[in-house]
Amino acid sequence: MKIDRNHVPWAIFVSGATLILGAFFCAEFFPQYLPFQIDLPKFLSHAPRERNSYGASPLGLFYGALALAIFLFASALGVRKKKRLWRIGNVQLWLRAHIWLTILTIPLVLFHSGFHLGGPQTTTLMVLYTIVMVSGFFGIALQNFMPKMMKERLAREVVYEQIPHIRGLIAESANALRMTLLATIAPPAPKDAAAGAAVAIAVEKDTSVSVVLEFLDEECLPYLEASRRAATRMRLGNHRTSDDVFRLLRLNASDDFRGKIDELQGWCDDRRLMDLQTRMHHWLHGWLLIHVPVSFALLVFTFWHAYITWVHL
Amino acid sequence: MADQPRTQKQIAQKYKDNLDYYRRGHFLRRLKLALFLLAVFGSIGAVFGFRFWGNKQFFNTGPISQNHARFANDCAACHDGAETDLTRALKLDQAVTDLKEGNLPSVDLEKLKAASKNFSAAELAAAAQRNLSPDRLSALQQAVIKKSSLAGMDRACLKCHNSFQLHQPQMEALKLRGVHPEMPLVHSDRCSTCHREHVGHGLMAVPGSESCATCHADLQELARTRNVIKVGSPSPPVRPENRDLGDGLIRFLMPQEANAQPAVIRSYADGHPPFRYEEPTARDPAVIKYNHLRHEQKDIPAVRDGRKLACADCHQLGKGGAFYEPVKYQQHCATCHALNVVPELPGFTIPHADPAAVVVFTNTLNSKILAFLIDQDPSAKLEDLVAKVKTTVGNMVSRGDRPLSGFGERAGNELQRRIFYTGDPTVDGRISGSGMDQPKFTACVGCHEVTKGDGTVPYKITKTNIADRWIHHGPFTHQPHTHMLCIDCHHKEIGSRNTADILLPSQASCAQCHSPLRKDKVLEVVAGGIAPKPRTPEMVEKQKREGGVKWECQNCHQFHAPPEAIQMLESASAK
Repeated sequence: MKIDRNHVPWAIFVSGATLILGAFFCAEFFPQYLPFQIDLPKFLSHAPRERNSYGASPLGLFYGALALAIFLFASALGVRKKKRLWRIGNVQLWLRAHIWLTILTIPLVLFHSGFHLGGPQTTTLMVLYTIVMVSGFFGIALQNFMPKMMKERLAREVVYEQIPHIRGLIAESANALRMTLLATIAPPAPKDAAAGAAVAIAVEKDTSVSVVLEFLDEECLPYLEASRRAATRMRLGNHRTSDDVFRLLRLNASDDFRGKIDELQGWCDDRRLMDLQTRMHHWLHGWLLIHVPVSFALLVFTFWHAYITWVHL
Repeated sequence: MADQPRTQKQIAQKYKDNLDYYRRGHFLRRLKLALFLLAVFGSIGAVFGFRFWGNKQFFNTGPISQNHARFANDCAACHDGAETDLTRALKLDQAVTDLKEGNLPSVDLEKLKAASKNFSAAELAAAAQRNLSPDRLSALQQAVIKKSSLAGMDRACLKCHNSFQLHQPQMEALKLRGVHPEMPLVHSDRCSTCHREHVGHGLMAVPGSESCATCHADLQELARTRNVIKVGSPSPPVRPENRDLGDGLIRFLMPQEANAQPAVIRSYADGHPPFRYEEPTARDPAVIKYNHLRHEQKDIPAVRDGRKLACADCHQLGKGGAFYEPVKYQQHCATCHALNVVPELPGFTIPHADPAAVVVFTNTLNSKILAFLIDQDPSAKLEDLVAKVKTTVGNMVSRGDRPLSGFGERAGNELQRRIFYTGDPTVDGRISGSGMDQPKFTACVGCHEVTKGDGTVPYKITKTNIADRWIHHGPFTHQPHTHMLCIDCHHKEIGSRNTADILLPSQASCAQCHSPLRKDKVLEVVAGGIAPKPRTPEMVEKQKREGGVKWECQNCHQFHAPPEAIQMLESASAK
């Protein structure tokens, strides 16, 4: 999701909420650093605090519970995306809330923990939380510049999941062309041997067919049928060398083949663009492979943490 | 080659054979799903499988202190009932076992009634509806009771620290229970509210004043936790009183206000109530006449080494330097206020502090003088000594406002009257300024309260009853204050004429030094560019200006009631 003007109210809300949360935290734990006195509601500043830690104080528990509620809401985004017809706000609104409310969990978590890592369990939680947040920020950053980059660099974008299919179609077309060319240089039937020999002599004089066939066999078809990783290492995988290769091919072939060569170059270009699109798509969406599973693990471990601290205290 | 233009239709042509692509799993989608499932089952498996692979140290939030090091590997010693294994905590293992063995819950209401006589019919019916067995119901009741005061962890503390379950009454309240009709009763509440564990290997830190302030700075919290029990003291003081409570120390006592509400205290310098002797009705009830102002006048003769009379000439620190010794006549007063009844015989003095001895003394004056003279000069002839006795007594007869008229009973009575009431010269004569160098003795009434006696003694001296202790809730000691001048704290002495004046420092004057460091007033050097040396008057001035001297509550007060308090309460509840 692109961060635009629609996010300004959210940014103001989160900044304001962070200031208020911070002021409450200082009022409860470090009142000497506040230039003014803040009287917290009784349920947030119960005296004496039942446990002498930040997280177990009423305010700390409130922050922790709020953070957990936001985690739950954030995880509900996946459900919202699946149930698009539910009348519970559009997905864009949900996504904005997902982004900004989870940003709000940063002060909540820090104030809940009192800026301490604690023991192994809470450290594990913090590590998971850090992974989730960093991957989330990474995703936001990618979503802000990758679409523009894709628009500039991908002249013909296709549906990502159709790419293997289209790649197969291109390879098939190239193979069909090869078969057609091979047919043109095949010896004629014995009953018309004289006519066939004349054609063969004429074809042999024009080497264009063999040049194109050779190009198809040695460069084009291997490239079109190669895996994405192998294709990027080939000559046709590079835009500049590909243009040079096709320029040479046109020089070596007669003008009759210009249309065929243009078609071949179009397939190679399509293949290269699809490879680039695949790579960009993986960058654009790959962070979710970390973000989503680790978020779920974080949720489970957070519930565990809440349960254990509840029964231990 | 330039990119070939394509129409959307041309592009769509490519998809026409593959329109159901979304039904087939794409690699990326499959990978996403696989990782998600791995996270789901992995995390849930990690949580529920913790019993097989986990170590309880996983939940350890920090090192155990030296105090509890022996429990470092035994979480259950303190975290009573805490269960890190979710399978057991949620009783899933028991449920599985029950299901396997066919032990489905069932309740017999009659059996329930028979087993639990403590529950009402409504409670039993509700329990039966919820399929609670009697044992379970009982356990639930216990759990509710347990939760009502201390949490499980704090109860674990009391396994070893049983005597610390009370905050009030403190030792002084216990000592004063004979004279105070009420005694505060406050439970310690949760131990870990103040005592922080899992914060380091060293000794547990002593809780600071902020722990006390969480209650004492909150009137509602004080009201919630405060409880007062009647102790039924036989004779509570109704006015300021100095009383010996049986331990040999005379204490200054103020009458206790019934159900007095505690003050809101944020720190010693902010909200701490004045000492009780600062109350407007407080008067020193000691029965002695002493005028500090008179003893500071210029005409007071120099004492030892030609020095002017100073505080330390009468007030001297006792053993250990904690408290001052009581002022004694023989040590501190006799030099100036001699009881030399016969001016011609220095050293021949009236006995002090015993009226009966004074009567005997006057009745046997001749023989006493003779014995004294023999003691002074054993080689002198008896005739000479008897003559000297006659001369001495003759002088006594002729001196004074009322002649002794011989040596009979009347003369003895008159001499006693002089000793107890008039002195020599008379009290009035001395006050009019007859001079300190004249031979005289001081009448008892000059300092003491003299009343008519019974048949055995004609006069009685009321006991002075000077207080040894003025404050009872803090272990004050003079030891750390020896670098200060007396008037730094006891400045009321200057100008005090009456014994009834209480000449002790106010709480506010103590709080000048005993308050958090006033950073805005810190001066590293005094005038002249020299930092004051420790234990000098300059340092005293610095401390008064800046504060920063022991101001924590715990410097004067203890939080936990002594073990005697528990015993006392137990015996009270047994009654």
